[in-house]
Amino acid sequence: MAYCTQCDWYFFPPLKVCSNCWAVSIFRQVSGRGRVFSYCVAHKPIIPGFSPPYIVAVVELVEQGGLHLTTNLIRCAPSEAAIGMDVEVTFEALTEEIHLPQFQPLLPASDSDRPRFS
Amino acid sequence: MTRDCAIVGVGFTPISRASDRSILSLAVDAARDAIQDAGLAAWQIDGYVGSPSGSNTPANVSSIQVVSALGLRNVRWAMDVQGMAVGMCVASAHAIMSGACNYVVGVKAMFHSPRKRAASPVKPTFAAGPEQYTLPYGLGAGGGRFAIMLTRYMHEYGATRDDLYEVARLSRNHALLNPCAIWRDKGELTKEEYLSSPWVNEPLCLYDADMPVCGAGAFVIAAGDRAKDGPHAPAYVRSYASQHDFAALFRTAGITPKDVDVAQIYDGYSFMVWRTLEELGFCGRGEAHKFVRSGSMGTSGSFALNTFGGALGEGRLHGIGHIREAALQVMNRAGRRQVKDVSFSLACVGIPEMSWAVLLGRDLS
Repeated sequence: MAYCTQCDWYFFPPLKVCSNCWAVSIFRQVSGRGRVFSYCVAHKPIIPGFSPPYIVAVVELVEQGGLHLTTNLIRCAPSEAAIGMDVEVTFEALTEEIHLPQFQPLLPASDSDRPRFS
Repeated sequence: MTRDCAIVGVGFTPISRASDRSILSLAVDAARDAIQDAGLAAWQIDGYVGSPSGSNTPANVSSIQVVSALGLRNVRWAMDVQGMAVGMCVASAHAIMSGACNYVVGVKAMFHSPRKRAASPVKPTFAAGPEQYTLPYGLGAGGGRFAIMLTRYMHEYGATRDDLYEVARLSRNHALLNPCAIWRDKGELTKEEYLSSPWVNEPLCLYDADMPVCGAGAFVIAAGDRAKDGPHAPAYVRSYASQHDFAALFRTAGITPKDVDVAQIYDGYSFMVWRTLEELGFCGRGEAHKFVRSGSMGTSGSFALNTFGGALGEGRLHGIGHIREAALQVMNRAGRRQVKDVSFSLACVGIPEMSWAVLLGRDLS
């Protein structure tokens, strides 16, 4: 995530300079955890490569209130999606070269110690 | 304002689901209609603003093409506006206020090709700008982002699809009174039809979206000192504002939202009406679903809304119908849809990152 060390503030989409103080931003690793802020279920095959129904969600990362990003909620039935549900990032391999950060329901605590980013 | 201006004429073509006419010929017809409606001749028009564009085809037409096709030889100021009709109106007002010209014709045309299914052109292998953060997740055309806003709105404020039905129902009822509307002779939209229609992006269904159409509309704006010369009562541009500061609309004109008699609020998707009513201050945050439902939004009510049927009733023309109706209402020319004794008429058109509102008045001050 783009981050301003002066303001201690993350922002997304990334910007080269912080919109608050104009200092040059850096990228800083985040936990990959968040909560569903809102979502919709796409039912029409409007965009090639997607098989409806699928969930498009806005996730708020745990690092900062209002730090939102658009993503897919996967491994979750549309009927089970809910605002406020805990989710975690998963980097799905679409092709050998392209990995897309999507989100899935957060696993129970006992399973969540497994390494995710290696 | 330093120099006043007013809408003095409007024009429209028939609106259809598909057309064998070109977008240029639609644009020319609407512009000619508006110039004649204003009682003017081609030689008097010295300004042009326009944005004829395809809704699912790259059928964009530049000012050079429209101005030369219309034979407007005295155009001194012209601007191609990306986007929607109220922005065109504001650009024209600026040009007149600056003294660059005296009569601007504004043209918006839309063309929809029946051969393509998608509502908007989609390039599946390429996404740039803001789209790079949404298109890879299958969020593009079809109002997905408004569906996401709606889910949150329902969660926070307890709004329901029954409430949203009221927006679509109102538009479709008003469309029955509008001879231009694509839904003019299709009868009322029942709640059963609405609730059982297919999802597009859940919780938005088919009837929450405007229908892509072929058609064009146009207006003529004149400098204030010439506005009275025409055949109709002028619709004076009293103020305008962008989404950065909608309150400026009322501040500049010295009125409050309560003084507005009739409003045309952009409704490419039904939910946008709630959002915009709140942003303009017609009701508080989270109250619009109750406001639309409890208020008398019909043409005989104290605050009439989308009296021509909106985009949901008339078709997807990116706001030219909204500005036409706003003008006709304040000119007292809206026929069966006319609201009684209109002093202030408002149009607000756009998407969240690019919206304009304009306030038209019967009187100059």
